[in-house]
Amino acid sequence: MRVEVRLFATLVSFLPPDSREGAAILEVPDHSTVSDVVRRLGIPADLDRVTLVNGLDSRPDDTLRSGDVLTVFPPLAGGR
Amino acid sequence: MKTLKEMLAEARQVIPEEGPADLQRRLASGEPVTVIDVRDPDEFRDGHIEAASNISRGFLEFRVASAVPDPKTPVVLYCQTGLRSMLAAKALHELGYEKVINLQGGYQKWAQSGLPTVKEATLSTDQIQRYSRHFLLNQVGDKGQRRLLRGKVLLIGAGGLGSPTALYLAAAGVGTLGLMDGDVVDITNLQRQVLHTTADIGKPKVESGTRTLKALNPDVNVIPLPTRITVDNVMDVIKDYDLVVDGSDNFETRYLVNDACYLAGKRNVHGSIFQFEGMATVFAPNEGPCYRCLYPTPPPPGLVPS
Repeated sequence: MRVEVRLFATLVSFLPPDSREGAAILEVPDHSTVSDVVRRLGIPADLDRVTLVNGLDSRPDDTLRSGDVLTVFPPLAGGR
Repeated sequence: MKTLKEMLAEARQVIPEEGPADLQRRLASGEPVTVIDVRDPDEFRDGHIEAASNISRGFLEFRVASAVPDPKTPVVLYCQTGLRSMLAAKALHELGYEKVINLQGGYQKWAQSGLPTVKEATLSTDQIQRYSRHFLLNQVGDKGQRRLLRGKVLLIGAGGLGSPTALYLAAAGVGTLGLMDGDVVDITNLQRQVLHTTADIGKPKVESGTRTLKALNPDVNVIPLPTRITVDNVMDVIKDYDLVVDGSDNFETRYLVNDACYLAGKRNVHGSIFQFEGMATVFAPNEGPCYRCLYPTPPPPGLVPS
C-alpha cells in the first residue's frame, strides 16, 4: 500500500532522495504501523518525536491504511 | 407607593444572591457568565472585578443587549454594597433575562474577601492615539488594552526569536517586559536579531534591547536581566510574570523553562526554529501536555543542531 510521509525541519534529511517540500509517497507492506514506517525511513529509534496520522495524534503501534498521511515533528530548540 | 425597603424585599423574591466565593468559582470554571458593574464610571475606575464590564445603573436597560446578546446567559450584577444592583437585577429580570444573580455584599465584600481587583489607570491622550487601532478591534478594545498595559511577560532570550517577539509586545503596549539574555551582541547576530544595531556590537543584548524597546514605546517598563537562566535563578525570575516566552537556543534551557513553568503554574509560549521551519506552541499547565510530555528526552547529540 502507499502512504504519504511529511517530515519537518531536521528530519527532512531522512526522506528518500528527490523528495520535494518535505514529503514523499512510500510503498510499504499492508498493516504497517507508525513505528514501522518511521524505522523504514531510518529515523533513529532514540529520537523522541511527535507523530500525526491524517493530522491527528497517533501512537507508535497504530496501524496505517492505504492513503494515510503520516507527519513527524522532531524536537527543536533553536531560537538565536 | 412603596418604600425602598419594600422594593428591595420584592426584588429579593425573584433575584437569587451569590457571595464572592460563588462568583469566583463561576469565573474560574470557564462557564459562560457576564459580570456587569452597575456603579458609576468613577467608582469603576477606582477598582473593580477584572471580568466585569461597566454599565452604570442609569444606562443598564439601554445597553444591556450589547453586553448580553443571549438572555439565557447567566448575568451577575454588582454595585458597591449590593443594593443598587439588586434593584438593577430586578429590572433586567423584567426585561426577560432569565438568570440574573446579584452579588451579595457587592464590590465591598468581594474586595474584603481578599479576591483580586483591578484599578483602571486613566489613558493619556497619547495612549488613546497610540492604541487607537486596537480600540477598533472588538477582541482588544479599551478593556483589552488596559489588560495588556497591566500584563507582565518574561522573554527568555533576546535573539532571533526574542527580538521580534519583544518588538511586537512592546508596540502593542504590554506594560512590563522582562528581557533575559546573558550574551553580548555579535556582528553575526545582526542579520536577524532586529533589536540590536551595528553600534551595539560587543554590548550586552539586554542593554541594546532595552533601549530599542523604550524608544519604540515609552509606556513599557523594560526590566533587563543580563544573566543566563539557570536552575538556581529560574523560579525566582519567573514568579513576577504572567507569561513566559521561551526563545532560547538550547535543549537544556527548554527543559528547564518547561519544568519551572509547570511547577509555578505559568503558561509557557514556546517558539523554536531550524532554518526555514519553526514550531510555536503554548504549554498551559494542567490544560494540555508540557514540552517534556511531547519530547521526554533531548535528541541524541549531533542529530539536531540548535
